[in-house]
Amino acid sequence: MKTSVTIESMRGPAGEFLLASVTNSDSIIGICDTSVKNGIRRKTLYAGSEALIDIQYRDNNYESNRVIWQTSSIEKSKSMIGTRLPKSCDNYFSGSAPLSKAIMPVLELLSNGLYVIHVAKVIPTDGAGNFFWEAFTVKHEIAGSAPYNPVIGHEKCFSPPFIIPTQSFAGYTESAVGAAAEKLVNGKKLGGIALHVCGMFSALLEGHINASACVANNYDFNCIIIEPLNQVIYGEPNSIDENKIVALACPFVKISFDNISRKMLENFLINRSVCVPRDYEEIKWKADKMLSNGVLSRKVSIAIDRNVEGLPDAEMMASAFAIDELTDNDIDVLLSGRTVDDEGNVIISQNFYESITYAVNYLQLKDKRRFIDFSDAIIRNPDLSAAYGYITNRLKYIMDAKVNEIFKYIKDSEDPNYNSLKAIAERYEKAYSDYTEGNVKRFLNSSVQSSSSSSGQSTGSGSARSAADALMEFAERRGPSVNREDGTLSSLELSKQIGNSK
Amino acid sequence: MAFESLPGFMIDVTQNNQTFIIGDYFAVFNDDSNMPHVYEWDAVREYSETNDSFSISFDREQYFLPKNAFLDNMQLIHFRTIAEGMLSGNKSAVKNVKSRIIPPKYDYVNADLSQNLMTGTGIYSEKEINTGSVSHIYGKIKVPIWLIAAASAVLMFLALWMMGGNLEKNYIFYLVISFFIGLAVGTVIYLILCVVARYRYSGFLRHDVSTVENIVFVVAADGFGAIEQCIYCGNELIPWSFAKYFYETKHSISIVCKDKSVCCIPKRLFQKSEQSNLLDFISARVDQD
Repeated sequence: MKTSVTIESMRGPAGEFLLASVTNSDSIIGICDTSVKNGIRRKTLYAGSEALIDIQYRDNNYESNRVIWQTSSIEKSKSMIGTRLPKSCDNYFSGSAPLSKAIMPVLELLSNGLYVIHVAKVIPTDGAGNFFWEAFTVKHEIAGSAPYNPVIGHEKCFSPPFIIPTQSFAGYTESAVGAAAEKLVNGKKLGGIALHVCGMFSALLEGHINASACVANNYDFNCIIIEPLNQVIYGEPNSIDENKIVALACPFVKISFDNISRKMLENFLINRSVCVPRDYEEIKWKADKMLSNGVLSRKVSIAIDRNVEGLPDAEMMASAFAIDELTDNDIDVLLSGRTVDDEGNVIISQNFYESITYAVNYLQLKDKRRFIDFSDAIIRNPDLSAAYGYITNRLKYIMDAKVNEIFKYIKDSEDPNYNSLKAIAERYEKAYSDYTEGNVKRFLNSSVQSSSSSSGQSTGSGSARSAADALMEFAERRGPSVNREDGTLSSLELSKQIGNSK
Repeated sequence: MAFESLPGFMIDVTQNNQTFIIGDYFAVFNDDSNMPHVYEWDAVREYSETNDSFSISFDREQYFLPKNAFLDNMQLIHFRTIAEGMLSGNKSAVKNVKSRIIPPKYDYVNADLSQNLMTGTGIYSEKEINTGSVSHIYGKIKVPIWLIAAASAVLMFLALWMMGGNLEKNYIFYLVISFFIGLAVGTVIYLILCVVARYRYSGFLRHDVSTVENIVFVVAADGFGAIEQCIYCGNELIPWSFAKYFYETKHSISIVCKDKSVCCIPKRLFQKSEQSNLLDFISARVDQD
């Protein structure tokens, strides 16, 4: 029987999306259970007979992060998938087909069930500052991968921001990234297709090179995100619907049964969460393997390395999803040691230190200046000493004169609460001094070059201003790249990177 | 949860104008309403199977699925496998299933069946069920039976003495008669047991659709099981820790579970080479009665 897909267009609080129902599918791409030990669950994203990604966790544990690793490459399933993924991606991002039409051939590959499809910006990292394509070859716990994130809670909806590769890193070549970058520069839109797997993570089925090109050139990377609509929401306690399921959800949206047609509901209710693909035994066997890391000697470009460090991490994104707005008044209330404002509204959470942490993450993502001011106020408040460690760890990657002042204050203070932070402060001061030294050198170089190449129409001060702007831009981008191991960056490294940034 | 890979299905109960969907959730569409009542299996308070229907109770509602609403035996087995598999995690629900020839599915857990696996497939024969049933009941009440027989012999001896008198002259005669009377009483009780076993089998035959289905019998390092072939996935077992004891008859080995259900494993369905190992394999893991 031929796979049948029905699509409805809908609107949710986070924007427009498509609701698709897939029936009679051959389940070419899907997630199946490949658990081998009692008490430990392992889910495997597969394509054809290839196990692509393993997700491992303790049974019935919804709040702990998952151990995720790549097991194979989607390229090996090309004979079954064909060119559907790149064609769909191109058709949508080139504007030659609307989303509902472009995504249809991909939906036909998925296992039976309901799916929510939307387009959103994704961050090509593992949620901890590492470029996504290199980050999943080693089995490890991934921050932000738990199905339930206590920072975001049950109420808020969000678009999964991080991606997991499905293609082997062997597919990364500078020439391909360069070609994609050229398209970007020429105004062509590039994107990808991702299937949500857990927490804040989706598996990137198509667009690995596009993602690399976008990161290398500081462009936003947009993805068609397909989220299985398979979470359930219960009726209000003490209501007639208590203990009954009244709505379906995925990270992006919650849809009550009233808004889903009976046919789609029946499809959801009949399909079971454990899907058994045709080549299940082979997939299960392959899921025990790890993706060969023979190509790890190859590295991504310095531009990618540099740019990913400035991208937000999982904690920042979670706080951004959890907090709608943080006014100056809210910040003043938090700094006064309260979590509830004069009108009785809880600012973020009843737990004070939780509120401080979320506020710091939120501000770091949304407003750098207010983040630094807020951090300064916390560091100088002796009543908030429990938050010092967290704040300094957030600040140490930001190259800024005011942050330097904060660390100087920590270093010079005789308060014993700062003792454990002095080493970080000293390392920061050294890194900042190297950083400013490099900036001055670059400023002088560019001034000299501008003056000598000037045809007389541009003024010296104008060239100096553009060089200063370039410096500021560089500083913004370079900010978080202080080596995480030792917290320092040599002048040589800086000058090399300045050279590259030119 | 067990049997999670079995596909869900829909069943119309025309008597009640209801449509049930059995899968990861228990859902009911009343009349032609488009709004279903959807419950998690964990919310089930009582699940029971009677001769002609299944009943599932939640806090506020109770639903009945008459057995004649199912299209065939396979669909009925499919239903109870999904329902009982999903109920395996619900320890607070009252589960009441009778007239079952094999253990209910909520006794099963997911397991890896790749190692040390012995399987046999076939339909139960009356002989296996009868002998197993007699042996099970006899095992439970053999001491009372022979106590009753002994008491009967003593009573008979006393009665003969009272009526016949002259103990010194006739005591050998009295003893022999008493002994045979006791033996007869014991034998009659045993024969009654056989009739009861036969009656039980005919009860199973009438009410449990599994009696006419091919059943896969599994004995593995992690556990054992008897699962209808039409729903056998090869991922589920009853763990050995759930077994209480076993007993052996000429035709079968029966493992009694802690919930009193019995898994009768016919020897003939296993390969000759495995038959000799079967008893050793099981006795290494469970006490013999």
